Amino acid sequence: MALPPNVSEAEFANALSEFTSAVGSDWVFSSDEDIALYRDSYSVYWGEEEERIASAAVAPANVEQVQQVVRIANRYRIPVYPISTGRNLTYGGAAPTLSGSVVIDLKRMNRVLEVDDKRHFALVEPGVSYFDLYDYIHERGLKVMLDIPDPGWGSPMGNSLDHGVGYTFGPYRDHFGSHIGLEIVTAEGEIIRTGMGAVPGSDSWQDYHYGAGPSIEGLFAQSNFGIVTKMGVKLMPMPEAYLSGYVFVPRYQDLQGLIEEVSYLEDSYLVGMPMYGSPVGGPFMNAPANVRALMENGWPSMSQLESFVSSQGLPAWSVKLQFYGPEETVRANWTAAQRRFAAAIPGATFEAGEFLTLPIPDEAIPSLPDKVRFGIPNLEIFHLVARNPMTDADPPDGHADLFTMIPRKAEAVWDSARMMVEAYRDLGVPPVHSPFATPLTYYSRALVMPTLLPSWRNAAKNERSRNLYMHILDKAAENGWATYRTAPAFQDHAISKYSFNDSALLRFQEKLKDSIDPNGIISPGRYGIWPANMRNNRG
Amino acid sequence: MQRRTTLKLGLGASLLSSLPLSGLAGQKTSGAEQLQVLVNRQYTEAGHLADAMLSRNIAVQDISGDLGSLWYRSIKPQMESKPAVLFGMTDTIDLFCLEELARDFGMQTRFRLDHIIHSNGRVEHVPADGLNLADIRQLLPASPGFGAKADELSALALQYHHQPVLHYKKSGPFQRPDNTTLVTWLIS
Repeated sequence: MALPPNVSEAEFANALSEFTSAVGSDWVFSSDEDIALYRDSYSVYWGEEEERIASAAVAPANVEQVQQVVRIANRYRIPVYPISTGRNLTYGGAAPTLSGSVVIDLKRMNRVLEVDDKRHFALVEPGVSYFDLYDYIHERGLKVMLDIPDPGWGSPMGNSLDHGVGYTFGPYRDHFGSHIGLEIVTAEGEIIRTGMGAVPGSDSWQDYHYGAGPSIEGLFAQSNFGIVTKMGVKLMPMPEAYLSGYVFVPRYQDLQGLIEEVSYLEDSYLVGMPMYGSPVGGPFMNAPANVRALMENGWPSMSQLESFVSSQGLPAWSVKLQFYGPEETVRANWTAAQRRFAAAIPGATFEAGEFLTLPIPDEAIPSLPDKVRFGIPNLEIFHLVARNPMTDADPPDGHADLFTMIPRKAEAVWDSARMMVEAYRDLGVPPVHSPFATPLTYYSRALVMPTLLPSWRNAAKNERSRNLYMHILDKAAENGWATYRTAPAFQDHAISKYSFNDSALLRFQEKLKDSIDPNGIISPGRYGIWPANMRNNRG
Repeated sequence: MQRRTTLKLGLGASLLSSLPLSGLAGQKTSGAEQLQVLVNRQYTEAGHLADAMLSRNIAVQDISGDLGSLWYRSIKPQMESKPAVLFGMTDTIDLFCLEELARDFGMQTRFRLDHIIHSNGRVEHVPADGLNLADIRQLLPASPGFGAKADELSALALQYHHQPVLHYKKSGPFQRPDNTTLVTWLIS
């Protein structure tokens, strides 16, 4: 059995006994077989000494039990690591940041406390999955639509608190940004409610976000300042209709105009998630041979790229626009979008997509592609990507996502793609990006240049993946870019890039940590925030 | 679902390992653990297994649609009301997902036998660590049709119901394009 750091066997046995008194013997897990359940399936350290392994797990049933568990952990100075469904696979899953931590598995706290389809919110506990919330809404015929990640087996709370993202309308794709109201158990076992929840008897906790005075919610996302036990979630009113349309632009340099117009539509709340593509460049991360050939003698010049595009007879770029709302408005917004693109980009062409009335009828759901567009949780993505050109030659056992945040400018798209190619080549890995790499748009006011590094049940291969991951972080930082989310294996390195003014941000967070959690028991090291007694663990 | 309650009910479940498949039908209502059989009928061999099970009045659930939908709306509620042992033949992606989902009940993969179906029809049966390959070669043909050997496969798998976990999270959700890998497994 692994022990928490600096805790003797006898002390740990006593702590387990106290945990048992708090939650019941059926809900304390300490055998090797039990602990294996909390391994990270996608770990980049699988089977190695550095793999993050829990010492035990405890599953409380309610907030009162969470308080008891935290107080016990404090007495024994045992680090704890709360999880909701623990399925954030590419970002650490159910495994703790610090080996030896006791996982607080919040799966038993799985109540949907309220859904209001007139004020458009839900209030949920940590163990509620997207499937659970969807079914709750569906069974009651409530007229609201979820925004979900893909796959949908995670929890609204867990996903939001790791800054997870979705696929529909801008304000809802940012899952933490669309939360409203938190209840938190602090490291000392107190309960805090944020915003209007701090007013006893308030019935506007999920209506007004801020309350009065400084709002502290951000402290509980991607952090270790407390354990969230309730969360309000803003929900989109069920739209009456959905319409999609495609815009194609002819020239390589038209990307800037394309991004500007898309940004206008997003920032005016006229479109849902835009999806960029490149007809001439081929599928992202699987560029055809003629595109790869462009890079054989270094990065091609703009004139070379324009010559290539005009020789292929295909548009350089495309964007899929998605509209939600009454039929009159989605059709009008698509018409207006076409007018704007035509005026801004000579030669722009258009293609109608789908028109669907919402909600999708039950009988149509099984065969519906891209269910995430309509907030319908599913696990289909696993089969969709099981075989793909990136992994066919040597299928991995998982992956670590690296999403580099860049501004909404064509120059940033091109430069970040070039940075990726150089980073891969620096380490002798065939690059997966090209001059036609297209960004993702999870956050409505930023772009993402993504890559996925494979993870394995093989230490040597994992070492290569880890080295490339960290090299990309380094090169990104040279350009003023950084990632927005990462697995525990990379969190110290990723956070080190947020180094403005001698890492003043991290030093401020550490001061808060030392004050709020003086024994440093909650998720030590999460996103680089180590308590004072463990700061030598960094890296 | 209380994991330790599941183990206490193992007294009933241990009977399963000594019964031929045809005897399992009577266990469904005995109060002991249920055997839930899951197959992905998208695959011919899994279809053979399903048909063999059905011919013995063993209920089979087809997971060839969205596994998430089936799990959360059918399998999980059933398991919350009555403990179950999961047995099936699927692809490795399905197994990967089921391992993650079954974690909510403290369940892990205790038996795993991969069947690599090459493009020329040859079948390789690759046992996870701890399984005797010689036994498997005697039991299963290295050719199409092995899925129909439901008796042999289930008997093999159920022997491991109470064995230490060796095969949990053995592989991830990606596959080679040049063959089809199915897997017979038991999760308990």
